[in-house]
Amino acid sequence: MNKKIPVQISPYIRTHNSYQKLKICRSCGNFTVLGDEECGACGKMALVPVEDRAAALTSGAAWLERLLALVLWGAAIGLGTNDMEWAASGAAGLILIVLLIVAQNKFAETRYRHQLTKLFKRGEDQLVEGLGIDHDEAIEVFQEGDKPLAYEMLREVGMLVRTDQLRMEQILLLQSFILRKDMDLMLEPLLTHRFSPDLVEYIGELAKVRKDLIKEKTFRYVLVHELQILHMEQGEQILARVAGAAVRMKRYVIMYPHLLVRYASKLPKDRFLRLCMILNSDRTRNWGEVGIEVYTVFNARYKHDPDFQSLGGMTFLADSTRYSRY
Amino acid sequence: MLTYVCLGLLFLFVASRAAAYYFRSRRALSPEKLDQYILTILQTRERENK
Repeated sequence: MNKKIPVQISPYIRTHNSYQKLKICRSCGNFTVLGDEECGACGKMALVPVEDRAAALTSGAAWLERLLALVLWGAAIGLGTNDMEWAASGAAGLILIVLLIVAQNKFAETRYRHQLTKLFKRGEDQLVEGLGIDHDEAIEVFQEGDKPLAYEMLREVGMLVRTDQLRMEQILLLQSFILRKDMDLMLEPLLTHRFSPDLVEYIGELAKVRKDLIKEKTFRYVLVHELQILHMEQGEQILARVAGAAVRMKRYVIMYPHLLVRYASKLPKDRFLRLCMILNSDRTRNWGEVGIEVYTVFNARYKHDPDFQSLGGMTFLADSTRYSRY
Repeated sequence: MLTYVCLGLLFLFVASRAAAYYFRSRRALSPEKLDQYILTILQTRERENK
């Protein structure tokens, strides 16, 4: 078994849209999510956030149009031969330039978005190539031995390039770290399409330190691959831990009853108490198979436990148990 | 006479720009759609590379 190392991982800075992390080179048009100022493709210090680039291009185009309009206006005045022409060109030109500026301001947002779209549509190849360079840089950093930095780099690339390969690379790195509660970890973006024992082990680790990260997608993943997980060395313990994470919310108990039915007996005391409290909070509900299982485990193990006395012997489950059995 | 030619050109220029802004505004992708577009490009290319 590989020795796990203690590490510090920088918090992940989330953006509303994933493209907001991208930078573009003003010189070669290459994209990156890792570069600070120096472009990885051409080596020039010309990287700028892609949104800033789009805003600059939009603003530049607007000023160019205003300049052209001013030139035409100036020509109209300059080529006038009498008072009538000067007055007409002065007034009409002013009105037209004001109209141009009003139109530019009215459509400022959509002009900016159109420019942004154009940058990505024209730069599809550079985008793919640039993120490939970022990935290679992360692998180089890993080979140099700086695993936390390599993970941080792969995490940035992985938010855009959502492939199982990148997910697996991140999971393998995370599995070489000692995971702590205070770390900025993630799970759902790392769920692979196929079964992966490393991912399952990572889920098991998270179920110990960050139960809050185990949500619907993870429960579905675990249920889909339950048989394969049970074949793993620690499979049953991992499933019990995931079931323990499911009792965080009543919603999960209702949505994933099969997980709890199968692993309620394996839950540690505090998680089982939590499950009992959830069931107790809605005594009128027919809890079905979960109710039967909880009632059985409760009677077998915790009936006389002082921590469970406030639940009144879970007698309300006895009725639902009768209904469910027949 | 040339004054009116220049004014006509200015009018056409402003009108063409306003029309272009209007049509571009209908074609511009929303941030969510742009995000989706980028992710689709990257996924498609990754599949092609495999």
